[in-house]
This record gives sequence, C-alpha cells and structure tokens, in this order.
Amino acid sequence: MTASIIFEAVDFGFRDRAVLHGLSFQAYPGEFLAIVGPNGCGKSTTLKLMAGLHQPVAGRILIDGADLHGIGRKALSRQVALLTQASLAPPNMTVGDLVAMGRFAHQTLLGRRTAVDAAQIARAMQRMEVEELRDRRIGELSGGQLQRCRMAMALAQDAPILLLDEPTTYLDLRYQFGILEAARAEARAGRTVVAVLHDFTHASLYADRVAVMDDGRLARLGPPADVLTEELVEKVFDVRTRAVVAHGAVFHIPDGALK
Amino acid sequence: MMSKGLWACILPASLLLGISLLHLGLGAARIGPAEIIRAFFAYDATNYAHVVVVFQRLTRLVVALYAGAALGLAGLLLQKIMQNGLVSPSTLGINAGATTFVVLAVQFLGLGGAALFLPALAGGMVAILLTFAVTGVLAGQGDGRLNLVLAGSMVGTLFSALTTFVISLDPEAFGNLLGWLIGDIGNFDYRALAPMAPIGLVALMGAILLSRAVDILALGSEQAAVLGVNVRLVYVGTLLIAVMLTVSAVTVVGPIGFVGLVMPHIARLLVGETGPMPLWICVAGGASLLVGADILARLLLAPRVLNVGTVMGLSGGLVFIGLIMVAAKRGRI
Repeated sequence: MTASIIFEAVDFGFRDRAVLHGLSFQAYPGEFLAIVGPNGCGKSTTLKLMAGLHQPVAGRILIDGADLHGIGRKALSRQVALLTQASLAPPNMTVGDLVAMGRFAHQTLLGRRTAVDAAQIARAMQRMEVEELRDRRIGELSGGQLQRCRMAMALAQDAPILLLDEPTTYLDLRYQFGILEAARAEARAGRTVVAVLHDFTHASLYADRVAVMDDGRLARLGPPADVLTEELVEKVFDVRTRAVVAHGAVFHIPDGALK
Repeated sequence: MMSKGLWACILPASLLLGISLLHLGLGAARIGPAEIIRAFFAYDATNYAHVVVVFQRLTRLVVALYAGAALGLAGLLLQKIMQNGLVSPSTLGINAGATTFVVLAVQFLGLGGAALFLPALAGGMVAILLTFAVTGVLAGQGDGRLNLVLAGSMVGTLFSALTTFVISLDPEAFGNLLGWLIGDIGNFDYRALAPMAPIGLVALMGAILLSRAVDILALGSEQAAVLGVNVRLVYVGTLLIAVMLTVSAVTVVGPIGFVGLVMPHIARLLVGETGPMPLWICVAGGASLLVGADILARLLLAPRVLNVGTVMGLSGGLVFIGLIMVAAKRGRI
C-alpha cells in the first residue's frame, strides 16, 4: 500500500498569525523528502497539516488522491504516521505498552491484539533496537531511548506515509544515523517519508529531495546538491557559508568558523 | 507460576468476597459464615439470623458495593482524562453540585427516589462546568493542575453553602435526608433506587469500550490524535460516563468522597497505567473500600452507628493532604 501527498495552494494561519502562504508541492511513494528552513518558517506546521492536526484555511491536501478533510480520524491514522517533536510521557507506562499504542488505528474498540499487530510491534521495536527495553518504564529511560521508543511507536502504525519532526533530537551520533537509515529504509520499502531536519549534512546524505521553506513559502525543491547551495543558504538563513561536497554529502561551513 | 495479571484478577476478587462476608457477618448480632451461606441457599423465614442477613445486611452490602465501585471507577476515569492525580468526583465539586440539586428538587419539586437522578445529574454537570470555567479564569497563573483542584474546591464549598441554605429554609422537611446528606448507607428501602444499577452497567461498558483510547490520551491530545483517537469525543464521552457514575452513586448514598480519589493511586501502584486491569482494580477496590468503611462505621462507636460518609470524609481529608504533600515534594502530581 502506497500513498502520495499533494499540497495544492495551502494557506494556513493561527488566530492572529499567517503561517503558510500558498504552499504547493508533492511527495511521492518511495522517496525521502527532507524539509529544512529557519525556525518559525512553518515546517512543523506543514507536517501537522499532513497528519490532519490542523485544517488548511484555503487550498487542499490530497492523501493518495483523496481530500484529507474528508478522511475520518482513525482512517487517516492508518494512512499517516507522525513522529511529533514531543509528547507527554507517563512515567509508569511500559515501553511495550507505548509501542503497542501505535496499533490503535488498526484495532476495533474491543478487539484483542492480532498476530499482525504483534508482528508490526516486533518489527518496529527491532528496527529501533528497543526490544530489550520492552518491560522498562518510561520514567527510567534516557531522552534518546525514549525518542527511539517513540519512533518505534510511529513505525508500528505501519502507515504508507511516515512524517518525522526533527527525529534526531536527543539522539547521540550512532542513533542519529540509525533513525535516518531506518527512515530511508522505510522509503525504499515504498513509503512516502517526509522529515523536518535541521542538519544539511543529514538532509543531503539521506534525503532524495530537499524542500527549503522560507516564511511559509517554498523557496526551492529538488535534489540536495541543487538546493543546498551557498546562495540559497545565505538568502534563506541569512548566514554566509562555504559549501563543501564530499562523499555525496553537502557540508556548510560558516564563514565565521573558517580560519 | 501464575502470571502477575492473573494475581491482579484474583486477589481483588478474593478481597471483595472476604470483606463482603465480613460485612454480612458483623453487626449487633454476629452471624457466622456457615449461617450466612445457609441464609442464601436454604433460607428459613423463621430464622432471625437469616432475615437479618437477607433483608438488612444484604441490601446494605449491595448498596455499598455499587456506590464504591461506581465512585472508584469515576475517579479513575477523571484522573486519566485530566492527567491529574488530585481530581476525583469530590475534589472537582461534582458530589457537592449533585447534592445541592437533589436538595432543591426535594424542597421545591417534591421529588424522591430514582427521579432524583436527573436533578443530581444536572447538578453534577453544572458543578463540573463551573469548575472548568473557574480554572479557565486562572489559566496562565500557577500550576494548572492545582488550579483545577482549587477551582473544584471553591465550587464544592459554594454548593455546600447553597445546600445548607436551602435546608435552613425548612429544616424539618429534611429530617429524613440528614443521613444521606452526610453520606450514609442506611437500613432503609433501596428498591426505589434500583434503576441506578443499569445506569452503572451502561457506564461501565462505555468505560471498557473507551479504555484503550483513554490510555492513549495520556500521551497528550496531539499525539493521541496522530494515533487515531478522536480526542474530543473520547474526552467528553469519558467525562459524561464519570459524572453519570458519580451521580448514580450520590443519588443512592449521598456525597461520599475519598474512594474516587485514592483508588486510582492504588491501581497505579499495583498494576500500572494501561490496559483493563486498572479499571478492575478500581471497581473491585472501590467496592471493598466502601464496604470496609461501612463495617468500620458500624463497629467504631458500636452500638452507635456512624455515617459511612463521616468515616470516608475523615480518612479522605487526611489522605488528600498527604497526596498534595507528596506531589508538591516531587513537583509532580
């Protein structure tokens, strides 16, 4: 099962503040699309719109060709999984219970856990290397362990669209790469993966395309090496950098750091 | 070896059974377990002990079981959806609101029996909405979760004053209701209140159906929505179920506190946060707690019988202070 996402001239704003202005783009099954941009440019809001947490003020969002607005909450959660930046973490809940919550949208009100549920939970926990934490309580976990468990919950949702909001937060180097590799593997398996990233190197290493957002608009969208240029970075982020390409990755070194 | 889950099923059930037998056996006349069993399975109308067990203590027991289970479950639901270990039917003002409306309905509409459920429900709803409104006014200042309980206490005090005022207009009209007002399980005819039982059953079924979604609300409303929970529906539905459970119990036994406050904490200690087990612990434990309190109420100052509401109020007040102190120390409720 695969599904694309299409934004058609989407406007969005909170009560007193416009956030997105006529945003249009598509994300396809099988690709890893990274969204980068300065703080407050509307990256997280874009992900939340895709997950149905906000409604566009104007324009449409299509999930697998259907208007997102008309999809029920539970059905939408079978289509779209979102790793949020943060959520409450009840300290007494076990990791096993947390990851299993990813299966809610697939379960009936009274239905017991099925073999498919169990298999998806096991796959997700193995993928994020958290099997040995299964019986631990959330209150005992480090920030990084919790983040991996939350990613496992999102993977257990088994949705064709996987959205990640700054997934590498709290993770040390090994697991930063681990979570991005997992995301890319999900894309290669046919899912549509969209991730908000801060690190250009991460974006250029793992994403197929990069969308640069600036003040609620799409500044540029394309392959990492075409998009993450010195000119665009200076224009959007207001920093002068030197771009270096090595091993297929783009590194931006701030001018001020050069000796 | 038996699994932890199985123990968590069996132990509360045994406690419930044991304390129920104790409840039937203890009193002005002590009646042994063998006699109690005979009273049920080989009833002899000429045997005074049998009459006492079946027509006095059994009703009393059933009422205590129902009210305790309903209040325990209501407390759990409220604490779960509000993510706040200090809320309960009493600390949110629901008990007090229901009581005021019952007193008004008795005084001005001449209602009685099961018909009192409707004014009680209205009172409970008005009280909780008022509590929310006051909390809204306090928003942005201090700790939001303490504010909620503070608002609930203010609303509770307000309604208690109103209740006292209505009674003072015509004290004699409430002579019979005095025990109920303190919270009491008396030896009077509860048959008029039998319609409360189906309300409780429907609410229990609703609670079981919603339990998985309610568990997920613990991750916050945004994360819950992402996972497929219709947050508003689940919140409002659960709140309604909790208020209905509370009010159905208050209609029968009066405003009894403490059960709904303390049972969720015990459940959390014993079986954690998630799954159906906390529901069962709160139902069985709440029932055991109230039956136990009723035993104490009958024995502490025997032959004088205390109001069970007094026993619960005293112990509940102390536990509430303890909980706040622990919460303040940990910086978490």
